[in-house]
Amino acid sequence: MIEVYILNLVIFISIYMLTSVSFNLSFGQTGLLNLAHISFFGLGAYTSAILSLRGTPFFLALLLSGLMPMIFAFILSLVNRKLKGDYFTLATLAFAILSYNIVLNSVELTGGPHGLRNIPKPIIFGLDFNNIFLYAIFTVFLTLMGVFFIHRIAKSSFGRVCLAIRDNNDLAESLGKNTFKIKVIVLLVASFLTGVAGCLYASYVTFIDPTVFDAMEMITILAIVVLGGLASIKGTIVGTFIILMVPEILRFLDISTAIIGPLRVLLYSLILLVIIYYKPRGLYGKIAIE
Amino acid sequence: MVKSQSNDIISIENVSKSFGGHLVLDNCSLKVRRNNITAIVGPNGSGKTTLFNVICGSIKPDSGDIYLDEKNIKTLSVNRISNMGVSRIFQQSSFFPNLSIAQNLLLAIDDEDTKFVKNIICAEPLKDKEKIITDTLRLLGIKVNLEHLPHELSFGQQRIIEIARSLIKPHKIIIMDEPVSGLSPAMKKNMKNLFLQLKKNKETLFLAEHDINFVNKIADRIVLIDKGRIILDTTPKKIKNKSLFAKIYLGE
Repeated sequence: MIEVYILNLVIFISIYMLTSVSFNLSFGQTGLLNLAHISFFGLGAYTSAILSLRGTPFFLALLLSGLMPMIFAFILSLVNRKLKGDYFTLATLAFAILSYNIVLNSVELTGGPHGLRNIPKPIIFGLDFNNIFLYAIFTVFLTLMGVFFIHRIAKSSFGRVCLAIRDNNDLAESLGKNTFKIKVIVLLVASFLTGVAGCLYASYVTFIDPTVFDAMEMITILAIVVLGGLASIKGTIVGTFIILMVPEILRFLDISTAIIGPLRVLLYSLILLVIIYYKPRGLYGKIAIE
Repeated sequence: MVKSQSNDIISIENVSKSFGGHLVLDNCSLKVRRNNITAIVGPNGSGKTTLFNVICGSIKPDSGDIYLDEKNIKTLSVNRISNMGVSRIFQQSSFFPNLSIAQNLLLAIDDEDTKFVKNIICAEPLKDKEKIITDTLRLLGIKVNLEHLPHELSFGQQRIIEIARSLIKPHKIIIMDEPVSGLSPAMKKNMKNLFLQLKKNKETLFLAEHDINFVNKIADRIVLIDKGRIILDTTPKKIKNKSLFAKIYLGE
């Protein structure tokens, strides 16, 4: 039983890690505070669930669950051409709320508030991923690939341009950088990997409802990235472990399960506030959050 | 037949710009010559920085045309104009504050770093780039710790690093907005020698400056702007005799 508990935790940590490292690429590295990042996760989860329930092969569903959020990320990029900084963030928040409501009200396609049930777990090359051990290996493998890809971006000269855009967009343009193109690429990459994380989530829990779009989940992702430190992949990895492990303590306390959920969000918000106030660079970041 | 290169690198023709009904540039026409130092002087609010912004593409003119090497650039974006060879130094020291001096300079070398796939697959030719940086800093006679952050340098050092950045960037012309403003007399003297060195190297500079003595020592041409209009276009030798210049600029 304890093995199942640990493997379950490994799967969730991997999924959150992939989502958070992607968010760190757009927010920490490039300065795009995209509050619709969680919508990419939801879009990936729903795309995968809808396709899997209609018998689409898993790998195709996985690919499309990455590609679908990219379309929406591209639309968001167009918004960013006109709206900068806080205005862009507000637009992404509006996008997150809008996508949540669309999913909530498209009852025929998404099941509305009841969500989608009995999402099949993948069978790949004859391997049945109902086996939690196999699913954990698969999830960790995809997460490591995603993290390695983002590490390559962050350490490349392209990653340096992203940092430059975050620091001073106008100066980057005056040095000849096409900042719009770079932001589009960053949002596309982040949305693809987050969509894949959404697919991994939907296939694992086999049930999703519109709460996967919940803006409150952004607090968890924000807490991970801010705790780890902006633009630090190592920080995001450590941050994911800390943020996901801390609430596990609550399980061993005599608290009603109805309270655990809100308590978790409260705890994350508290961590976020403490870090911003006392350690604005987070654990491994070089840049203070402003 | 090969077309001979024009002597003018930038040609501004009848450019006007107003903000909220206030005319900031009034039918400005001006040519900036290749391999020359052209200085534009004028009181605060006369339109110098706006003129630079219009050339660099961050502000679009209401009317008129701007040519860079005979190509009309008035509708082009800032990054495209920059990649066509316009380097710029801003009035306020401008850096990427969380990046080291080395990283700040590396960003100026080319725009290959914006190519996503290439940069993910191939390694960056860092040694070649570092050589460009060390050679340029040697030319400017400045020694700084390249791993420092910009705010760890003195104001004078920051200004020289900005000049280094504009030289490292592939350029045809460098536009400088008050490059010696706020510097100590000793530092200004160093900067004067630096500009004379750049002049010797046949750099094309177009700068705005308030310090007339400094401008007189380094510029080939001096242009006087007032209330958005080009009033005078002359040489440093002649300028001392121009009563109009004294009246507008020095208030005499």
